[in-house]
Amino acid sequence: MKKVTDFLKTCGIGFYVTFAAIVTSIVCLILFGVGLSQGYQSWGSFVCLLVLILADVALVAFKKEAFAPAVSTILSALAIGFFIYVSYNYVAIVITGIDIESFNADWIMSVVFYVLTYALSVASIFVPWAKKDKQAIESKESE
Amino acid sequence: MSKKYTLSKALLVAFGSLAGVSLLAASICYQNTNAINSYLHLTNYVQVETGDGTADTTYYKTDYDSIADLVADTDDAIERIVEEGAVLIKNENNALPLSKGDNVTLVGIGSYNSVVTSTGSVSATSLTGREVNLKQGLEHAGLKVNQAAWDYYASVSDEYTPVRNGMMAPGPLIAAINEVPWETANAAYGNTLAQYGDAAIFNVTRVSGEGNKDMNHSGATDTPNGDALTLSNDERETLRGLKALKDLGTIKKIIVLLNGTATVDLDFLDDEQYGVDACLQVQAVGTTGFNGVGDLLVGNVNPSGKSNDTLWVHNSENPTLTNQLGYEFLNPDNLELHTPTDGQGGYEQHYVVYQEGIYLGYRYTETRYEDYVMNTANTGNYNYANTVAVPFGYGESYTEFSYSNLTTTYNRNTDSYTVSVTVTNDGDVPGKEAVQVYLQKPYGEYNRTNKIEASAVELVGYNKTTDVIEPNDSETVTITVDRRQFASYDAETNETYVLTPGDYYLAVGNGAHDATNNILAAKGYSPSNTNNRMDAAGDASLAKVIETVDTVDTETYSTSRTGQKIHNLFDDSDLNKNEHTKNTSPVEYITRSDWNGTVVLDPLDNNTNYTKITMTADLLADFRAGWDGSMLEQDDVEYPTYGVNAGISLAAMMQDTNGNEISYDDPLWDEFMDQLTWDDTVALLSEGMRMTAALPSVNKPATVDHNGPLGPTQPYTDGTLTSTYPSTAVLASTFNPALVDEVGELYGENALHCGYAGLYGPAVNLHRSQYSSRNNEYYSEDSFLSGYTAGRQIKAIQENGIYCYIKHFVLNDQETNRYGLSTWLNEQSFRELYLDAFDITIEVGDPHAMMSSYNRVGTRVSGAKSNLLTDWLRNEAGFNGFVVTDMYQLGSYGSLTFYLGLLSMPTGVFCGNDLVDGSITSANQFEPYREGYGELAWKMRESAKRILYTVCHSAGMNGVSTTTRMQYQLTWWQTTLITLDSIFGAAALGALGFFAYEFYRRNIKKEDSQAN
Repeated sequence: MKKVTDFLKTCGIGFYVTFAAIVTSIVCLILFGVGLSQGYQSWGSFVCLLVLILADVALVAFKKEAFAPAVSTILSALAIGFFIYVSYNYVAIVITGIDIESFNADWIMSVVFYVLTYALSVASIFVPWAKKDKQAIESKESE
Repeated sequence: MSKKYTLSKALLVAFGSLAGVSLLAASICYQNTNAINSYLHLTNYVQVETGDGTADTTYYKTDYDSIADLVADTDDAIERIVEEGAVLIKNENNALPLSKGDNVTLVGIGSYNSVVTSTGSVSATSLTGREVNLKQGLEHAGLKVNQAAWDYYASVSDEYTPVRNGMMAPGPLIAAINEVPWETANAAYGNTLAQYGDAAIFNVTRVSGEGNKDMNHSGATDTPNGDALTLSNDERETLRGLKALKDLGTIKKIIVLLNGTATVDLDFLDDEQYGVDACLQVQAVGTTGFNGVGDLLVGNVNPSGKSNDTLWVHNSENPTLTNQLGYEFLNPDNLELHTPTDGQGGYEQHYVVYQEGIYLGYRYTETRYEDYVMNTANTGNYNYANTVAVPFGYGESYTEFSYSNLTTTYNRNTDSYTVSVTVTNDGDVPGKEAVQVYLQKPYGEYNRTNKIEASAVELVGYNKTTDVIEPNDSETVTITVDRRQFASYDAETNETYVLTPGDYYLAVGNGAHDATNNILAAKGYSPSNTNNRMDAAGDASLAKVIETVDTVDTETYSTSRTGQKIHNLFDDSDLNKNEHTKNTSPVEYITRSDWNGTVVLDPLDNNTNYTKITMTADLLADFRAGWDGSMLEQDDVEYPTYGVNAGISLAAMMQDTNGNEISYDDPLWDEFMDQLTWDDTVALLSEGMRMTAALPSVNKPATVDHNGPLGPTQPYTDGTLTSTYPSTAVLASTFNPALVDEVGELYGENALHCGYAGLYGPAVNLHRSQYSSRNNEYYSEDSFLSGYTAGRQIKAIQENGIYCYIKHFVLNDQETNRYGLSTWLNEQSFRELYLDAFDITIEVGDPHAMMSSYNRVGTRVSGAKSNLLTDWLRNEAGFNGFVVTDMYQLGSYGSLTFYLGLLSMPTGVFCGNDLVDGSITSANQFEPYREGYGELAWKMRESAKRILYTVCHSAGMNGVSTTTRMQYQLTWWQTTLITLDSIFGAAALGALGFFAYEFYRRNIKKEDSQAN
């Protein structure tokens, strides 16, 4: 517990943003399971999100966390791309309004969380991962 | 430096994201190029004239110089269709017409939320702004409408709109009717009713449309029994409230309008507690149809419409409802049936059995009535008055017509009868009258022994007076009746059409019931000698025995119009004959020999009396034959010749040098077809989303072929939005072939000015019950009325160079579980009703295209049935054109993989289904058949030829001469996407370089500082 507490003391906002991206990725995976039978969910997205989560955890574990934001951004972009590619027919059908007259909640939630994941991943690129980084940057900038 | 590094990251993210989005958009758009081009009226092949350009290439010319004129004429025609197609079904004490200047109140939320059309393929892209609402329609006719009531309903129209579940969502289509409680409405505007009390006009609306659900028999929360097609508790309370006000003298009359795509139970019509004085069935009226309703209500026009369907006191009296929605197979062996969401498609769960046989609608009600009157055994205690509210073909007028001088003449050359009857206007106002001729075939011992059913009456001809008849004037109406209609299909013994022994009657009358009574009178029956089982005295002079057949005739009609020998083709869709079902799932069809024993009225959704079918492994294997390729076998047949450079363009195939049309069988077509490559052929068959593909090798242009059955849904070429015609059911109710011709001509002009070459519609499936969501697009319960109206309409449309895709071949008579629904029926009812509608359409209208249906006919979808598409449609019925699938998606959206597991396109082409209606090409499906499948290759060539021949003689060739060449060109949206891809791609690469540079500098600096 103390190790975790000590670790968190060193973490800057970047860590928390990346952590939030991992959480939203997990939500996307849950929504994937809920909506799989509807056919608008993509296995490509599933794989990307799973790799995103595992890679980020591994990078932190092996102290290569500097690459985590980039990995998150690329993989979340691919995930959202696969999702759009697979679900556009569903959108067309809903808009046509013959068979389905409105979007279901799972699809709407998926859109929200895919976008969130990507936005958080992008944000994590621009914020410092660790407090020491921030302090170092601030001291260098003051120099 | 840090700022630059941050900037480099931001630029990389921004341009990387934009590049990704534009690449994704490009990928999706290119996948759907044909659909997008068709929607935007674009093509990748521009026409380049290489000759002198002097040839007149407007092969199909318009009569309209101005789209505004066309719009005006169309909107005028819509009014006239309603004026002639609305049916006056009750008019007690001459409650109608109202007087101009009368003060009226529109009552009920339906008065504000009135019905113009339904949803699905009939829907225009958006409202035109020319829509006339009910209030405007009435004011147009000179009535003064209660503004307070109107404003009140407008203010609550969002709150009191019907509660609907989505087509694919759980629950019934209509969860609640949601009428405004009378107490609430009366409190809001009741004080104005006395001032606007000349009449209260209550508009009853029900709306459904294309999709996966029909109107529900149960589950509506605010009707007495959950049935969406009965008046809701609040609607009934509203009528009771109006009756109370009428008793007090506050209002003088209660008028009911039936405005919608389905008709409710009419149990309220003659029930004294509701006090209805008059009722006008207007159905879905189209863009300007309420002007026609107004004209009818004030008597500017005298009603002359006749009911296109039997209207029931309670819809539940219709025996088809016992077997309607689609039931799940018994599955004792626990076979794995594919579901829509298991990734394999197939829709293998549901079926429906047409257990009623030929006794659909009035064929049931009138036949059982006749047997009841004649005291035939096993008829049961049948009560016609409690069953039928409005007979098929019935309609009242503001005047009285009488018929006389019925004469019939046989014409040997045409094998037809000419029937004439004099119509006299005995009333005080001018009016039109539609005369209907009904046939009664014998039903004797031969029929009973050989299980050949016969209806008491069936419509075989009709016509309308050419103009209004003035009071005391007469007009003789002449109608031709094809004697081929006298034949019955004997599926059991002779396996062809036969003339059964006995008397054949022809009768005229105001609807099927009137005609039945006239025949009964001719047979000597009367109310007095039937103990009042007969409900009215018929007129024996209006019915006559036209022929008597002594012994069965198995020869005269054993060949089709095309000379094809007729024999059983559809044993596979009859449960009693299909080898996989006859032992496990026999069915007892309704027979008039035993009404008591075979009619089961049990329409609730949870009924247990529906016909049961057991799924077996053999049956399931046949279910999958349309998809799994098992019907395609390798052979050593030599492939057609491909890719010959003969230099013949499609335009050159219209006419020979003498100006004569080059026939379909002309050897020049073989030479022409040799020019196509394998890839050309595949492209033509596998790209068809509302279009046909361009083929530059033969200079064939792409065509725009689009919805829909109630007129083109796409805008005119100048951007003006198109009007929506009334329901085709209204058109059928006009019983006016001349008006239908006129409307067809306008449809053709509309389509021509929309840039169409093909029109998806009309549709001639039958109204098996009022619950079918798509009745708005279908004409009638009767095959003759459907086929003849459609045929006349199509003939007129096609004269403008627009080929019609007739929908939906065949048995797409319901929407519930429509994808892959397994439909079973006997061959007599199949041929005499459901195929008959298409047969008459083909004979009268010669349609050049057809759309196959989603449902299975027996075990396989119609697109995978060569006995249907080749043996019957082309060989027997003589259809000359091509067949397209319904919307074809195998795609990746689960429950909407429309044809996954049902139909592969190579199998479809092999069976006679020529083209796919899919936005994504299905070309890859043909790839395994490049070698070793010669028979399929020849069928592919035939399919391609059918499409090319049809397009060659259509408005799609306007602007194309023999010297026109097709030149590939990117469309504006493709150019835009490529440009964006290039810009964002380059920007992303630049940003990447910038980032790499900054990253490098940052790390060098870091290393330098660490070194220091």
